Amino acid sequence: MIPSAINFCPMTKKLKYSQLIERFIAGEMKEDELRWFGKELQSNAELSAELKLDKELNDILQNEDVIEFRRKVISVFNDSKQQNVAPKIISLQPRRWQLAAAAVIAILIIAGGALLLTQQRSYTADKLFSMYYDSDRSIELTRSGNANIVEAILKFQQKDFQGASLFFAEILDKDSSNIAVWFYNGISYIETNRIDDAVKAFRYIIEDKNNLYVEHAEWYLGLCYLKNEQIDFAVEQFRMIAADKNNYHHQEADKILEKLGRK
Amino acid sequence: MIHYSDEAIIEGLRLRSDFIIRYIYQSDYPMIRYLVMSNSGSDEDAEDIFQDSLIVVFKKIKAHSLNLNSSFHTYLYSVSRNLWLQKLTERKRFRIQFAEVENFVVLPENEVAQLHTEDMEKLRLYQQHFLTLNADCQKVLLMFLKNISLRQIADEMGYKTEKYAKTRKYLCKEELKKKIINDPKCHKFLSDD
Repeated sequence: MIPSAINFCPMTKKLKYSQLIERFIAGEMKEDELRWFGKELQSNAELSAELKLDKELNDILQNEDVIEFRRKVISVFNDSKQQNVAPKIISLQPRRWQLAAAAVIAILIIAGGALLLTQQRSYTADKLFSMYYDSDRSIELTRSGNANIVEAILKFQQKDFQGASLFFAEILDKDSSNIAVWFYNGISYIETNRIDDAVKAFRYIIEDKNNLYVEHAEWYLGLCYLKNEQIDFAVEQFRMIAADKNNYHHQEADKILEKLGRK
Repeated sequence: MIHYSDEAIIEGLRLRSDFIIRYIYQSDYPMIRYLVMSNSGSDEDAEDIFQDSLIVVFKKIKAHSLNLNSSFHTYLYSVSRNLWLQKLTERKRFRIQFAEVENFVVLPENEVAQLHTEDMEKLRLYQQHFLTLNADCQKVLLMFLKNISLRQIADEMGYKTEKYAKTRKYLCKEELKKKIINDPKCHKFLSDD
């Protein structure tokens, strides 16, 4: 008996009906042809298998989240194979080096041709900020037993960012090591237009390094620079993000640089 | 080695965090590899089972249906163990003596029922080949499946016409299908018999 796993694989290794299937799925067949296709499907196992493969592919590729997750898992495997050693958990040195390099470049740009470079962009910083900033997209909050945190989360979810910020500040007064609170406080500051305070919050997270919010903090820090019209700092921030292909925001950073004419 | 709490691991997976995936790889893969290889499996089998187990957990996290009654590590190991048992049964290589190498939890029946290895294998095969396509092809196919109009796809990709966007999408899908049907894994069950 052949195991059921064969069902998802067409019997031959050649595709014979791709164009026909393409027209069928796109709804481009006329009535006569459609009738013939339906009949053919019942008797032609190869056509039927090819159509099934096509439809299954469409279904499976709908789930971009899982694809992106798999991309990262594969990348971890490949990295470890290439290095032939157990992967490091967090590599601090490159990030420190990148930050230092970014800072040097930022200073050079500010001193040199900031005006020249900003002339190339066709989007205003404010417009770009509005295009890319979306507080609804930030990471889901993890509830905790702390009453203040619960209150803060509720306020945040109700979009009462000022109220949330008060609770977040109170929590941080007692325990400044709560990175999640720093992050959400940063978002609340953006929402209440306290951009300089938001910058401080995101910098704190980035400097802490050993936490799950670094990549997001880097992204929002870049957006804060945009909002503050500190274009050169924003550009360096987004360049650093875009250079790291594993960074969650690298594609968006790339796009923003393109729109700024600074890719 | 830094140790992360279960909560941090779950949040890291939700964020698809590189360093949490690396951490899990470093802390859990050796045990899962040992389990598979002690029970008639190969290195490749171990990688597949580990990858599939992580996908199972990730999907559960995204669906808010992950209920841990044990540590994260024990749960992941238990998912892997179940997947591997199913695989062995499919291959008809299951023996009564199954070498246990770690404590595991018995997964609820409904969870086990969801761990259908054929589906997992199909998902893996399709997505792995998708990820080998060039970046443009991946993007075109994903946009098309999001029902983004051909005009928008053409604009985004810098193609001159909608017709070209459609042709690119066709060629990319064709390439993907060819990769899949020419993968020995797609046909290995034929030759196994």
